[in-house]
Amino acid sequence: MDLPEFACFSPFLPAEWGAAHGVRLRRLARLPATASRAAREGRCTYAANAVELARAFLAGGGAGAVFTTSCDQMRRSAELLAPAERVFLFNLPHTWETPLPHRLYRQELLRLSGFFCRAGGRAFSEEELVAAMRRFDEARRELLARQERLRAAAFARQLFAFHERADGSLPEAGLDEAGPARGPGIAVLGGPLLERDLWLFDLIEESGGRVLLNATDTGERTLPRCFDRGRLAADPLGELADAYFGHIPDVFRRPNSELFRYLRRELEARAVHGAVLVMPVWCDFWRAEAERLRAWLPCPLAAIDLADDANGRERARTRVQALLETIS
Amino acid sequence: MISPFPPRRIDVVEWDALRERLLELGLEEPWYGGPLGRHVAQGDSRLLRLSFDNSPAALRLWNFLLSEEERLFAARARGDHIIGTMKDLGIVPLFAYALPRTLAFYPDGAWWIPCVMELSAGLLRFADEIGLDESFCPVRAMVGAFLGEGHFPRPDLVTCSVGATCDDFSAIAQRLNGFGVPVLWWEMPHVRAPDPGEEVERLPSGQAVPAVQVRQVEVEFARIARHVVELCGEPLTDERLAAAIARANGIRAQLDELRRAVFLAPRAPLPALELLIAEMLAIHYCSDRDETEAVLADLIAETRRRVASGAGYGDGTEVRVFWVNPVADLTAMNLLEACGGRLTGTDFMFCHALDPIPVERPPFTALALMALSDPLAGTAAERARRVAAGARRFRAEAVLVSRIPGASHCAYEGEFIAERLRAELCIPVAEIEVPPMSDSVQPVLRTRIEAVLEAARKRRSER
Ligand code: SF4
Ligand code: SF4
Repeated sequence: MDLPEFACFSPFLPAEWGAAHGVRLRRLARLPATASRAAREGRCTYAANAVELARAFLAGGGAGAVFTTSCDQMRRSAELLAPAERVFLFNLPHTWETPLPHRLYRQELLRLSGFFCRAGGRAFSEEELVAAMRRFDEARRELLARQERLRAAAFARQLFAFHERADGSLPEAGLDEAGPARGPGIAVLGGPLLERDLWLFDLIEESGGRVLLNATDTGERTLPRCFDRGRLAADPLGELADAYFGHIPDVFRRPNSELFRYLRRELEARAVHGAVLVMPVWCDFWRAEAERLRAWLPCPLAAIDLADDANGRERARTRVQALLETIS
Repeated sequence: MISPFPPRRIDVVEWDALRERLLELGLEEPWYGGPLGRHVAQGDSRLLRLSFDNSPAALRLWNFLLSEEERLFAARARGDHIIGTMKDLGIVPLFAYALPRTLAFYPDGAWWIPCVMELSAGLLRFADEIGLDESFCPVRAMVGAFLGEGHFPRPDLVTCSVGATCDDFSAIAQRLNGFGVPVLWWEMPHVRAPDPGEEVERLPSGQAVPAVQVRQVEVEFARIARHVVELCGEPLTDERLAAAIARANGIRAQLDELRRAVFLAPRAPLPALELLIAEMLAIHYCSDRDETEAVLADLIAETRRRVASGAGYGDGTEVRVFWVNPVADLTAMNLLEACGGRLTGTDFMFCHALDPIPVERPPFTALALMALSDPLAGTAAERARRVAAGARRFRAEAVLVSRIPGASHCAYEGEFIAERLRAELCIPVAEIEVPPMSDSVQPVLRTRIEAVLEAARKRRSER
């Protein structure tokens, strides 16, 4: 029998938690051809696309959709979906410096467990959770090891495929014949991408840069930390919660200092000469940080509005080329 | 002093002449009193575009509002403790007001500075320069106001609720934090329906919420209280908090009386603009609780007298309008009346600061219940339900949902609420967008407001 499937859009929702329940918690990134591409005044394009994806998913027989409260837009987007019983809104705390939000996150995982069970998932044993966590952990390590050998868009595609499969399996290695790009190192930061946005990586590489870090919301930045084997055995749920909620740096978190700490660490570890900031149109969180990042980063920054309009790519091309001219 | 004159809208220049006359007739003003014209001279040039109620109570209200900066700097000079409470609107200030020589204010109030000072303060320009452009709501003015320290003194402690709030504020507060302002962030969970079998608590509105969410907010409030205590060096006992809640409830009762009189009297005893300002006093008492009580007492006395004598604005045939969301430009409230409407219900996004706080519950629980009543923290459906109930209660004939430019929630809520209300109430509902300086769009606003009022009149005549 096919496993019940759930759509989701947040890196803070562990797919292994779904797997332990015998369901697939699939993070979707491929927009159906029928989806409306029109950006609506005031609405973040990613959140709007998530609604489109979830609608199509539910209409196509998906068991449910899981949204989070990571931002006002996602929180309110969940309310646009019907039927309400098939939509789960995960209360994702924004604060993290005190014990309460960590406790809250764990409680929400347990609530999500109830949702899965009501929609065809099953109760699980601790061993099953541990096994699922090990499987996903190993897959993520392998995925990261592939990064070196892949062009940026190909690596991003592999990440998408891994999240969309949501069973801990990896897509074919599919190494690029061309091998990794050459040129000055670029870090790509910012909001979430959909598969159709990956032209941006090609654009950077065609323009003579090499993407050394995909720190978008759908890139390696938002992978959970590797599980600690000892803690995994002793308290799997605690370890799961800590690896995700305790470690993923994101722009909406308050304070968002961990995002900056992460960037400092990763930029220092790689020979990055320039950065591209991807801002989904009407995303307050990323837009607000653009100027701060520009002042803070040790390298020049090109900020790009990731709009759904036809001119978007052209504007992006101009900015990326200007950035590469500056640093070449 | 009760007004010796019938109600009439006057401009700021007339007010200064009238004030002279009232002084001759025995008007006694509090220390912050004086001619309204002085505020214009100090930069509040939007006052020249507003029309005001002509009662001494309204004069006191405006002087109270417009002297807040001065009073905050005076409190700083006295060495009082000042807490900047951001975003929650109406709850966290109670911790401050429970303690002696401590006050709280909302830096969020900088929202209105670009309007009141007609952009002359340069706060929006500063926001643009640091990358907080027009895609953010007018609260982006807060960063410049905070850093410049010309509009309010730097608070001793700054709190900010995040989580189920709005992206605009959270993003802007984070920028402020990035400029070196320490912020005590606290978590406001999204208010959800209880899951099957979950323990339930009831909000004062009757809405069922998971008990676990009430406990979460209690934990956050206990944390905030510890910081306040540390700052002030005074114990924040249950008795002190209960006393602060009792005072808050007194002010909320005053506002309830005022609102009922304004919304239900045959003729509006107070204009919409003054009611908006009066309601705003509930959230942090405009930095002075004693004076808030006195200002409201004057307004109530004036209103009672007008209602008793049948005095008021209009002839009672104006279209009764329920207004949703605050307006970035205060002239919009005048415009409603100029178009033939009358305010008979409001949800300026802080209705939880107007509802009575349950006194039968322990103080932290009571305040947690109020925080969870914040319309921003819940669903748009719940907010629409409350608006519909208010519109029915005050017999509204139309609803105006006013969009706030750039506000992340408006792009979702506005249309959703409008659709629900149309379906549920069968009265005309319109969405309008009011920028901080609406002069250039006033013809459009006027047309939209007139259209909805006309539809309401037509509906009235068909019934
Ligand atoms: S890009 Fe920004 S607004 Fe859009 S879903 Fe992500 S955090 Fe929310
Ligand atoms: S977006 Fe709305 S709730 Fe948030 S600060 Fe602006 S007006 Fe207030």
